[in-house]
Amino acid sequence: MGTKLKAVYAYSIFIILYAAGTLLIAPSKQTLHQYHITLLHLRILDLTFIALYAVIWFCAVYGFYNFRQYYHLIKRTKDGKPLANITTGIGLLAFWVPTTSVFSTYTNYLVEKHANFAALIAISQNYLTLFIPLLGFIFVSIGARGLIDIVKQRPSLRGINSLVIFLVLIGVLYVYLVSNTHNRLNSTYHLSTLSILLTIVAPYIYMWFIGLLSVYEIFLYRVKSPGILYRESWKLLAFGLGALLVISMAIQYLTTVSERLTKLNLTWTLLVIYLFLILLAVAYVLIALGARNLKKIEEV
Amino acid sequence: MNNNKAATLYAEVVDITYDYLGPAADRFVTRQIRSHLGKAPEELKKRDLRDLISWIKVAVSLLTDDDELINKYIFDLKRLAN
Repeated sequence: MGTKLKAVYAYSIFIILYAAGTLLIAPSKQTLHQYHITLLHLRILDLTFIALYAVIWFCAVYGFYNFRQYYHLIKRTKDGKPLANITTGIGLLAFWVPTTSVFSTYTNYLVEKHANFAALIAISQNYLTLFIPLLGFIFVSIGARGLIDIVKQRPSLRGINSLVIFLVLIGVLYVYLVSNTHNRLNSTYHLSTLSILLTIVAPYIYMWFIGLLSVYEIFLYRVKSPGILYRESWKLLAFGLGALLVISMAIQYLTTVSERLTKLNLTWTLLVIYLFLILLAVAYVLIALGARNLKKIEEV
Repeated sequence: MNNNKAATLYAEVVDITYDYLGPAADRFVTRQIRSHLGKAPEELKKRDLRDLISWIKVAVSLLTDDDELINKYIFDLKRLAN
């Protein structure tokens, strides 16, 4: 089976699973009551989410497919090895949102039916949401380091310092928010504070660090590389990866206040969700455009 | 002797292309020569340049809408033909 067909199949399976899980499972009466909406209204909202996810996942899979094709075109050159790692990383980041969305849709239903699974499911959702992008950014960072080795460039001391200061600030704020999350033991994380800090917060901060460093290194590679059009493609890719990191940070910050978010009315809840989905779409579109342009350079 | 001259001409085209397509320049020029002129890069002659430049213009137009950039690239290549 060709790569294109595999990508189409994977994309279709995720969409079908998500749509089926969203539309065929009866919503809880509590949700309808909380937002004062009818079943029809909820289904219309569900359809808008499915449509948005369909667009976002298409961009994600399209970006991955194009980058993989690009890698296959140049794998025998000196850029080949670093690009193999970046391809794997982009692949993991492309399937991060579809996998976690589908998993959450079905497991949330399971929680409604069997409340005693709530802790186990919340923990597995949290770890799945963490480990896929973490692994993705580890691969991207290995690849990005390989790229800057090619152009014989290292991040400057000032650049590294700025990154670390930024990371310390957002990291400390994240630790503070998690430590003060209302109901964190029996609603959001279902883990002790120490376990949350060691197995969730620390890996997230590590991921943000290697992610930001990778974006910086790809940006450096771009600056030091020849070729106006070639550089432009890498710029799009670096911005896309950077946007994904910012979204990951924002999601984690919001998770710490998720208890309060459930008290928002429907309009505000929808506004927050749509804003996130639009940002996610922008990130994947940038990656897709960068990957497509790089592939086109090798094809025309 | 002739082969060396052709190789030099090819290298000059790649050299100019390098400023626009970076590491892809060599592969890009080779592809244009092989697929549109039907010859090996080392067989490139000065009289082939006109055709090659036309094909390169078409190919680069597929990569960018920036007319200024395309015109500058083509201008640089045309200087080789003169």
